[in-house]
Amino acid sequence: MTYETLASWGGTIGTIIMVVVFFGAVIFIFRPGSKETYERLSRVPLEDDDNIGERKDG
Amino acid sequence: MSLTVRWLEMGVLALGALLALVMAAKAVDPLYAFHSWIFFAAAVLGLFFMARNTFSGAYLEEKETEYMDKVVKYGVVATVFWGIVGFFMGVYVASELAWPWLNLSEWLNFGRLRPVHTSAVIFAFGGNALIATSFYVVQRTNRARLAFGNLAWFVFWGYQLFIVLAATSYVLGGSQSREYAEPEWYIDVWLTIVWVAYLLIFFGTLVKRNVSHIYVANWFYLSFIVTIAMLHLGNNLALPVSFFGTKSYSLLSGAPDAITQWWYGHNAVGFFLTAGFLGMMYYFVPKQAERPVYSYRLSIVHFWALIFTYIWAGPHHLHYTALPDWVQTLGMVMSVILWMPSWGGMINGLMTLSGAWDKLRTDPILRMMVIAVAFYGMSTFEGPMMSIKSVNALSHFTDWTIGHVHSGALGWVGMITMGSMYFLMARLFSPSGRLYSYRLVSWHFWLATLGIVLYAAAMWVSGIMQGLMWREYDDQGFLVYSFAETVEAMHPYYVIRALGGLLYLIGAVIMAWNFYQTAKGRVSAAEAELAPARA
Repeated sequence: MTYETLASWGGTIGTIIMVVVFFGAVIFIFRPGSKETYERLSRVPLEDDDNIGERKDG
Repeated sequence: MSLTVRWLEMGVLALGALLALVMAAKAVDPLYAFHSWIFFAAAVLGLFFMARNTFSGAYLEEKETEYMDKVVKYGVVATVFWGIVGFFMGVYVASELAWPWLNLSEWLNFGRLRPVHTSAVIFAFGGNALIATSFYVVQRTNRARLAFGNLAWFVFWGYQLFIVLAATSYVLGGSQSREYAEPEWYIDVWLTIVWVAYLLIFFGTLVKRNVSHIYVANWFYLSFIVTIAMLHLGNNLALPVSFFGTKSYSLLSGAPDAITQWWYGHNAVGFFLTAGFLGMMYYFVPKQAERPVYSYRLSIVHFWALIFTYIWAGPHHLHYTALPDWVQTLGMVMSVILWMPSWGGMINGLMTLSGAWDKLRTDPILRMMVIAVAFYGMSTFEGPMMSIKSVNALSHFTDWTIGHVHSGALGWVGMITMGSMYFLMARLFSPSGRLYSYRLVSWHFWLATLGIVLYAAAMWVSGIMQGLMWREYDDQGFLVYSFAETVEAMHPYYVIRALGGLLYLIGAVIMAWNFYQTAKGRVSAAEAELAPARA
């Protein structure tokens, strides 16, 4: 196998993996029924106070 | 923490001091000997303070059930201190360009002081801010004390030692001539040790967290720490001439060497100056605005899109060079794609204020954070545009690049850092939770903003003028301007730039004064009857 073939296949496979992973992540983020979870998570910075180890959920 | 661990730690410091003595004794050049003595002094000082702390029993007061905030407080002080040093160096090198007689001696010439300025603002000011805020945020959002006890102190002091070694090295002429990676091999080895310890602490704290979900700010911080480790190792592959000397040679040469440098250089922008400070934005903007993140979903897409794209953008620093054409095009395309995650992040930061826009009138800290995000949007618009080959043909090597970098550095990095520092000052230093004076924050805000406007506007004009003068041909095909003529034409803009930098520096000095008064527990007489303590 020459360098050129390897580089071209490497590029193609890399592109496919990245596109699939990225759009997979996007689809996962917009999965049905996740709205509430993300709304709760968006408040995380506001919930913290100085009680270490108190809140056990996310 | 047990006494045994402390004895072990002191043993390591003693060994370090011994090693430094050997290095000093066998040094083959004066700079290496000087730095060995700095290593020795640092180890001995560390040993002294640890011994004092151990024998007085002071370490027993540290409780596992409390956040480790003292190291964060030291980080805030270091950030303010190095900020003023770095901004001063910036004003000085800018003045050297405007008035060359200021190049007073070999130690103070532009070539040596310029890396002192860049390293001081990026690594000393920015780095300390990132370490301090990451330690604060990772504890608060994961409800856990920093992992590995005293290692956080090693990271803090070890990082300061790195800064001192780097700065003294540049002034005394030690540099491996890689932009933003000037320190020679032994300083790089030291930074690697410190950085691995930093990664261990951050990761260890995530592991022992008391919540199920890791908040998105931590993702940005973690990607910053991991990627900087990778970049630092990749770009500093070099062979020292002697293990007891300063000089080393890069393992790579020619185009591969150049692309490795700019893979490092641009990702230092992407992961140090962007990802790390986005971590800051995703925690401190909601906190200061007292509003939830606008869209948590967008923050996740923002994160992954930024991570996937940034790493490819480096080649745009090497347009029209010996770099293969396809690599240049790849760098350009990836840089243009970066528009999307950058603007997604900007929108997310700005829209976090929805329902709280009125606070901009009363809260100068929030104003600072918002202008930071606005500058983030502006410079991430300008950057992709400048990476387009035909635009780059005009802009490259001109002051336009310098103006672009500073609208990002002074506007985005500087302002989000100073906003976060004000937040931490009120939280960690002030008994009442109030700063000494919010009026002074407002002064700082306007001085800094005006400084950036002067700086960026001057550099746009001078940069584009410079680029146009360089490419001006007459009808015979001869260049119209000599290089010296372009330099002469830029003089007024250099003066304006130095003035802009000076305003920015004055703002930072006001912050330091405000900080000092706040730490003393004072509230400005004129503001004493205003609203009660801010949370």
